[in-house]
Amino acid sequence: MESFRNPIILGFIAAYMLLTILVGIWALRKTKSTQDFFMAGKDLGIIVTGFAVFSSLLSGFGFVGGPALVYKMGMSSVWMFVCVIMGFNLSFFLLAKRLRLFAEIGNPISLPDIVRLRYDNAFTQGLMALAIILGVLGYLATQILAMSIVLQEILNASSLIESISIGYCMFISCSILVFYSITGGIVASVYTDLVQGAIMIFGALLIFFSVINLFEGGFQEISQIIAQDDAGAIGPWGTLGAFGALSWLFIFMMGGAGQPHVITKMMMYKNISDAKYILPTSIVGYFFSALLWLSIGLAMRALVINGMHPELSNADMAASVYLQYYTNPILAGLVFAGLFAAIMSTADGFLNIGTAAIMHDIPDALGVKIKNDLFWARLVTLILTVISALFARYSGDLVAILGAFGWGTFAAAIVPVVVIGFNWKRATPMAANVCIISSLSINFSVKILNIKVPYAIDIGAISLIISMLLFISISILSKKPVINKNVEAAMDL
Amino acid sequence: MYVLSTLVNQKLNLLKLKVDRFLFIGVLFLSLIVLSLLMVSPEASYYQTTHLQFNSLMTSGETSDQHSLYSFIFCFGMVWVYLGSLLLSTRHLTKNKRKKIQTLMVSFCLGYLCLLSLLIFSNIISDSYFYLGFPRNTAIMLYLIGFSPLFLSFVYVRYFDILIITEASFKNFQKQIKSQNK
Repeated sequence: MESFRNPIILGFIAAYMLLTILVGIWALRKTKSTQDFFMAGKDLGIIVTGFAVFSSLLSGFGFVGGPALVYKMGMSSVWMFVCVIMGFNLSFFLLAKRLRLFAEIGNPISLPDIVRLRYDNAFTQGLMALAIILGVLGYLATQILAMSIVLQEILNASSLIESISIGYCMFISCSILVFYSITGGIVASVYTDLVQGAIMIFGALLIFFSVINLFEGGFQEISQIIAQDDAGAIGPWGTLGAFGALSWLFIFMMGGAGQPHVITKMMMYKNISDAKYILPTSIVGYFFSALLWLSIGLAMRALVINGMHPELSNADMAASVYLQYYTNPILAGLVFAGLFAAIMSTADGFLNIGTAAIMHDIPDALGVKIKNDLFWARLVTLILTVISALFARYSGDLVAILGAFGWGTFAAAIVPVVVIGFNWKRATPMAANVCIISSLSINFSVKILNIKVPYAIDIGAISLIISMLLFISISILSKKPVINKNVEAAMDL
Repeated sequence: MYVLSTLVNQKLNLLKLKVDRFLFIGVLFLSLIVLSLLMVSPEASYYQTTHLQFNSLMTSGETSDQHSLYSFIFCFGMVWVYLGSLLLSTRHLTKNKRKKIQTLMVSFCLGYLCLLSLLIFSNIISDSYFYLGFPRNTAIMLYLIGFSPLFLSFVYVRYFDILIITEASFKNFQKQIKSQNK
């Protein structure tokens, strides 16, 4: 079977691509209106929503970037997923019901729509749309870069092509992604999430056991190899140290509730009581899939330190190298296919909210009406993909670092305005506007000016703290706002 | 006796902090902590260094265990802000229900802070004791810190109808909105 490794892997990926096209075509038929394209008709079931929530969180960020960070820094990045149940709890306690209730008022199709409904302010809607577009660029770049790295590794290892550059791989990845997103909208995304989620749970479990069997002593031997080289790397803070790890804990446990591609799914389920089953479904799915993040990263670090595998030229290759050289070809093919599915569905989700922000929210905030919006939505999808691909190509960051930037941008802008503001009547539009502007200014100026923060504290965490402080203090100091009657009723329920 | 009980009640009323103020003070506290950290010890900025043998790996630096107290204060602020945000979800409840769920939330957050403190103040990374494949502190982080929040998830699922919403009140809300739209 080993001699057919590459054909098997390529076969699985080809089969998956075919499945993607079929899902896209099926979703195209199911998508009859803008509401369907952006909100899946508010008709999703428990399993579909639960899987869509956890799969959107993991994606290329978790499956390519996660193992890369564990390989590079040891246990530091594990804090990003160790706190995920905290994040889910915050999202469900504060938002699942509230967003579903708001979705009943005025048929909103995006998060900025609901923000406008809550604050009754067009400028706030426009700013929220801008924050989403900027966050989407960072996050979408993560997905495109992850997909290109995996594709390059597979194609370079096969006998079909001698050597392919990352640029060509990006072109191929973007072409598939654009086709998929343009045809299916959010319907394609959530149903691919379902397939992908199932594949990833199954694949991650098998990978976990393959890592245990790779070393005679299982994880204990891996831990010992890493500890002999650098005890801090296998300690709870990893190489980054306590502050860096704790700032990740903060930004990921609070910021989980501020990820628009995740929380918009909370407007799409059918019955409100489904939320109580969606939470455990998402947690269980996330837990099993995250095993891949931890096990591959540690295994690759131990293999390199022990001299069993040559050093990786790029940490982002950790997952694809492990799958290529240390797993059964069928399992590798299955996980590679699942990985592509993860990246595609999440990227589709991002394109969806980014397109809604450009096509619907900003014109709405400016009072402009766009005709033939479905056509324009598809064109904007193409443009967003190209800009993100350029960002990914020229930023020079690791997949997970780009992902953490996108996460931090969303968290700082959305957590105060949405998570707090949707549950606190005292919140004012002015506070929301200042909060969004400050969060974007801090995140982007630190990124553009390449400022190093002491103690390796994540800038997203600092930005979130400042935007929360501004939001609450300005709200308390301003005049009590007048809230729409229906919105008030939804907030009282 | 009456005067005494009135005084106690008045004192307690003064101590009763509104949820939004509680959150505000928490955020303010955390902001001051981060601000002081950024200003006080910039020499600790470069914690990790590149591995001597492998360029793609990082190794931990020499300042690893020097900031336990700061780390604890940072965690305290962090958990405070998390709790403050979580408590916002209880504002619509009646007094009795609110008290019960708030007690559960506060207890959980205190427990979570204790677990984090356990990691912060115990710096032993021992090779000899492994729990399910990992050194003791790492095992605490993965298994206890990672899974303890399931307690809150259980509360959410188990008491959904009492604490969050019932299907009937959602349908009523839908009807109310539909009738207005007509």
